[in-house]
This record gives sequence, C-alpha cells and structure tokens, in this order.
Amino acid sequence: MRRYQVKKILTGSVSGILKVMLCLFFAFPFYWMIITSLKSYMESIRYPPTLWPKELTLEGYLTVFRGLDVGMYLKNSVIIIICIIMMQVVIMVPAAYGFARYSFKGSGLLFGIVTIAFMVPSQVTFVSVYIMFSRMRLMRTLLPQILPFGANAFGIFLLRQTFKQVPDELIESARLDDAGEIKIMMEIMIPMAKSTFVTVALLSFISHWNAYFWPLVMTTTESVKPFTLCIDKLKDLDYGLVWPTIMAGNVILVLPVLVLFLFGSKRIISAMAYRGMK
Amino acid sequence: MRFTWKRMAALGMSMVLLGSMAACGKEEAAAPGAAAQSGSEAKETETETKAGEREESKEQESRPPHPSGPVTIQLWHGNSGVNEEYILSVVDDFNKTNGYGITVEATYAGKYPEILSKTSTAIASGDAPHIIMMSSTGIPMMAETGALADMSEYIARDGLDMDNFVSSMLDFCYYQDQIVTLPYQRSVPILYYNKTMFDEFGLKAPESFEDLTQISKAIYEKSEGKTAGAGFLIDMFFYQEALIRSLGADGILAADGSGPACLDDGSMERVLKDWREGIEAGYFCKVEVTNTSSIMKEDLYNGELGAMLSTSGNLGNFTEQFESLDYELGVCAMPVYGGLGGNIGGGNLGIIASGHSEDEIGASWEFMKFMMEDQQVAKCAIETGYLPVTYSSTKTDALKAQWEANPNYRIAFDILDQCSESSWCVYQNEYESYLKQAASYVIQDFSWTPEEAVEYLKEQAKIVFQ
Repeated sequence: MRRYQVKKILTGSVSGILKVMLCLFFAFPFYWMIITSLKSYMESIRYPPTLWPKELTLEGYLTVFRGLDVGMYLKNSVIIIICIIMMQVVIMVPAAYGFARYSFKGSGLLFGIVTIAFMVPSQVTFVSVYIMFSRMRLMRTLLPQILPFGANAFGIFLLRQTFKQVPDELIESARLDDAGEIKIMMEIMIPMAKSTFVTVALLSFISHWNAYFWPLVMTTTESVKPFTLCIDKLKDLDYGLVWPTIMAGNVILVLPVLVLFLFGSKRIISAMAYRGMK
Repeated sequence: MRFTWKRMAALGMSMVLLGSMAACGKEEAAAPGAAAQSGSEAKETETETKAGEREESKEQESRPPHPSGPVTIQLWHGNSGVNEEYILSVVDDFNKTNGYGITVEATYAGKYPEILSKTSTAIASGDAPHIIMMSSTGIPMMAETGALADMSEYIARDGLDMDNFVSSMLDFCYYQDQIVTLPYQRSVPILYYNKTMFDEFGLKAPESFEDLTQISKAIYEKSEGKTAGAGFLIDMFFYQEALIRSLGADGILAADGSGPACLDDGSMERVLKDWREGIEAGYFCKVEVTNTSSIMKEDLYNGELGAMLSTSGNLGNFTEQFESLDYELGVCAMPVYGGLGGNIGGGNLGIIASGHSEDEIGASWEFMKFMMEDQQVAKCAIETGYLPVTYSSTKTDALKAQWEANPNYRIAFDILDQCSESSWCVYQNEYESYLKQAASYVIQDFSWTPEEAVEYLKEQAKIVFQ
C-alpha cells in the first residue's frame, strides 16, 4: 500500500513536471515575444539577454502606431476574414450536406474534384488568378483576397464527415414531420455540427489572418493590404531588425488569434474527439 | 443622286483651287519681302530670328503635351519606416500643388527584387504601375524589354539639365539614345566604426583594405579574441565589386556587360580568399545566413565588433543609435585594395510605358520632375540619408545646414568621385544569384575553396552569358 502510494506520487510528480515543461516549451516563445516588445532596443540586443525588462517601455508599440496606419490594415484584415467566413458558410453547408446525405451519379467524382483543391497549392494558381482579377480591373479592391477562398475544400470535407455521423433516423423523422431540406440543414445538421463549424471557422480565421503570400501577390495598392503585410514593413522601420518594434507588431497580430483560441479550444477538441470515438 | 455627286465634286474642286490660290498668295506675299530683306543686314537678322522662331515652334509642336486633365498614377516604391513617411509627404505635397489635377498613389511594393517581379507580372496582365523604383539589376531588364518610357522629349521640353545630375550616377539613366531612368535614392558603402574602441587601442581610420586587415587583427588580438575587427555582408555588386575593381579588374562584369571580368585575372579569388582567411582567423566577423546586417549592427552596438561596412543610407540610424551608447561613432569611406572607393548602389526612378496612355506618361513625368527639384532632392537626402543626386541641391540652405551640423553626411558625397556603378547587363540578376551562392559556400558554409567557387562561376557564366 505504501509502495503503491510512493509509486503514485512519483508517477504524478514526473507527469506533472513533464506537463509543466511542455507548457513552458510552448508558452516561452509567446512570453519572449511579449517581454521583448516591452524592452528598449538596446536592452533587446544585450547579451546575455534579460528575462524581465530592466525598464518597461512602450516604445515598440508607439513606433508601430506612429509609423504605420495600423487601423487601415486591421480594418482590411477584418473585412477580408468576415467576408471569407460568411461566403464559406453559405457554400460549405449545402455542399457538405449534398455530399453527405445524397447518393447521386458522379458524387464520388465531384467529391474527388473538391478534395483535389486540398492538394493544389496557391503558388500554382496565383498567376492565372492574378491575371484574371487584373483584367477585370479588381486589383485595387479587396475582392482578389476574398473570392478565391469562398469555397473551403477542407471545410466541406470536415463538415461532410460530421453530417454523415448524424443518424438517418433523425432525418427520416424530421421528414415525416414535413421538414424540408433547408429546414433539416438549418435546424438539425448545423446545430449538431456546431463544434465542426467552430473548428472550420477558427482554422479559416487563423489561416487567413496569418496569410502572407496571397495578399503579397494580390495587392497592388496600399489601401487594400492586410495587417500581415504591414508587419512585414516593420522589419525595415528604423533600418533593420528592431526587435521591440517587430515583437510589438507580432503581439498585435497574434492577440486576436490567441483570444479566439482560448474561447474556441474546447470546441475544437470536442469536434476532433467526437470523430475519434466514432 | 448624280446631281449631288456633281455638286460635291464641283465644291471639292473649288476648295482645292481656293486653297492653292491662297498658298500662292502666301508665297507671293513672302517672296517680295524676302527679296527686300536680302538688301539689308537688319532685315536679314529679322528673317533668321523668324526662321528660328518657326523652327522652335515646330519643335515645340512635336514635343509631348502637358497632361490634359485629372489622372491618377501609381508609384511603387521600396521605402518603409521613416523613408515611407518621407515619400508619402512628398506625394502629398505634389498632389496638393500640381496644377493638372494629377493624383499620385504611393504603394510599398517590397524591396527592389520584389518590385521588379511584381512589375513584370503587372505589365503582363496589363495593370502596371506608372512609376517604379529600380536598382541596377532591374533597369537593364526593364529597358531591354521596352517597358520603360523615353523621357528625353520631356527633359528637352522642360529644360531639365542632365549635367546637373551627379555624373557617376548616370550610367543607368541612358539606354541607347533614350533617357529611361533618373537617379533617385543612391548610396555608397561606407565604414562605420567604434571610434572609442579604435582610440583605446591606438588605431586610426583605415585608408585601404590592407590597412583594415591590420586594424582588424590588432582589435582581435588586443581584445583577446573577444571582438572581431570588421564585418562585411555578401552583396556582390555593392561591396565585393568595389574590392575587385581596386585590384585592376573591370568589375564583376566586363564594362560592356558581355560576360564576367574577374574570374581569370585572380581578383575574385583574391577577394574571397582574404575574406575567408579573416573569418577563419577570427579577425573578420562571420557572416550569418539570415539577418546578417542586423546581427553585425547589434555586435557593433554591443562593442563586440570594431567596424562594419554598410550603406550610407544608414548613417542617420547609426548616428541615432550611437548617441544612446557610451561609444563614439566613426565614419570613413570604404577601404579597398590600395585606397578608398566603393560602388554606387540604391535605385533610380523610371516611368513604365507599357499599357499607359500619353496623358498618364505625361502625368508621371510631372511627378518625376517635381522629385528632381532642388528642394525635393535636398529633402530626400536629409530625411532618408541617401545621397543628393544633383549638384545644385547641395547648394540649398537645408543641405548646407545639415552637412555643417553633421560632417559625416558629407563624407559619403565627397567620395562619389572615386565610386562607380556596375556594368549594364541584362543578365546581372541571374548571374548575381550564382555569385551569392558561390560566396555563401566559401564564406558561410566553408565547404568550397575560393578556387572551387571561381571554377563554379566560370561554368555558370558560360551558361548565363551564352
């Protein structure tokens, strides 16, 4: 009994230490980013580095806000993401519902075509997409950053898997109660796939919030650039890598993702865990 | 119907007849006058003046017109941070003051290589910017594809004096008989050093590369191996070419740009060999793979590096950072073999003709002209740290005052006579990537000897230039 207790305590301690170490391992870059953003430039390049600033300063943040029109870039990012997510929901739900609940001739082929979109990187398609938008005279608008992402292949795939897990009996009983397809989609499927929705929306948000390549190629004027491209400019503010400025910009960039992840992490876990149990 | 045709033919004939009679009349009227003038010198002069005026008016008629109405033009630049603030203020001034209703929209399009690739894509899609900033790597490519507008006619119309531009900055302005770019933000490499450290060790500013090597060795030894003497980046057409030229070669490329010029005479090998020797011995700073410039700067600020080569465009930043340190900043021209020298870097401004109307090109020229005014050139030099590109701008009160307050700013301008530009070569961009690769294997990876790097470059040059 005593031996068992010692073993239990030991196992618990080792596991606890490992967990703390793992947490520190993943949290340390964030800590370092925040701390560096509050240091002076000279302190940020001092060797050995300080784990806590000797003098806290907001100079990095002030440089970001003084040097860049942060509001305009943030506004662009927010508009782009809201439009993308709204478009994706409108396209994704009926597509996933169709693939999950209807068997029709060529459905496999069509679904295959959708999944091909997973495999084609944007670097392959950007030239033709660029020329298309350019000829349509849309390069100085936000549309080239929104329209190509209206259909989310990964979201359709994930949602289709979730819709497939909804019991047939539930749908049949709804049909017996005279529910139409739209009603079934809206009142049965979507509530049951809430976790998947949050997951897809969150992943979509993160990927488009952090997008760099596509906006870099698809923007030819300052007024339509998103926040990531503004962060890129911080590298050259004050002629070189001024770490507090760069880290201040990164804190502003990462903050919304962190907040969303904190609120949405449970949903993501449950979306994944649900499928795992099945 | 036949009646109408007849009437129209008659009307036409009458018009021709009337026209010819009028022409005869003019000739007849002029002829007596001309005859009368031949008798008197004063009248002869009058005739010459009139003829001159007619020729002038003909020339003026053939010159490009001014913009006819409001037009928006796109400017793609590579200025970020304080430099972007400067360019936005210039654009704002122009938009408010030009009398043609021209609106310039300035967009940061990345550094020179990014601007070049974005512009090429934009030209292909028919949505090109009107004015772009280009380095010596990009200008030949753009010019030889015919993408750049010839500004000669505008320059002649508005009387812009090309001799007023700093002569060593003009190599990339001309293409065949055209003027395709104008110097804008130009810079030279200069040596920034920790003067306090130099004084402490009893050292003086180097006067040649050999001198710098000795100084670097002294710093390394006196600091007991803790401090490297000097650091340079891999920027073949800015730093290394200046060293190669000082050894007697044309440059990295032959003067006519037809091929490499430093692979057989041993100059490239010597530069790589001396550099690597210094890094291996520890007296030259090792060259990191990424963020090299920033890391060297940090070492210089921390007293772990004695000196580093950087662009004169960084002078303001170095001055500002050193003010918050215990060290004093020293600045001198780039040491090369046997003396001081350097290559001229930075970028020019050019107008993209492809896909743009005469009105848009005219409007773009108005902006270019505005940027080349003395006050604007001086403002650019003061606010960004780049060199003034015209001689007359150095006589403005603003620039005089700045040079008086900080004589270091003058050093870069004064060594311009000893500096030159790279050779005009359409393959420079492509060849530069092989040069970087070779230098990287010698200096950073240490897996190639300088001899192997030169052999590799010979092989690549054969492919690129053939």
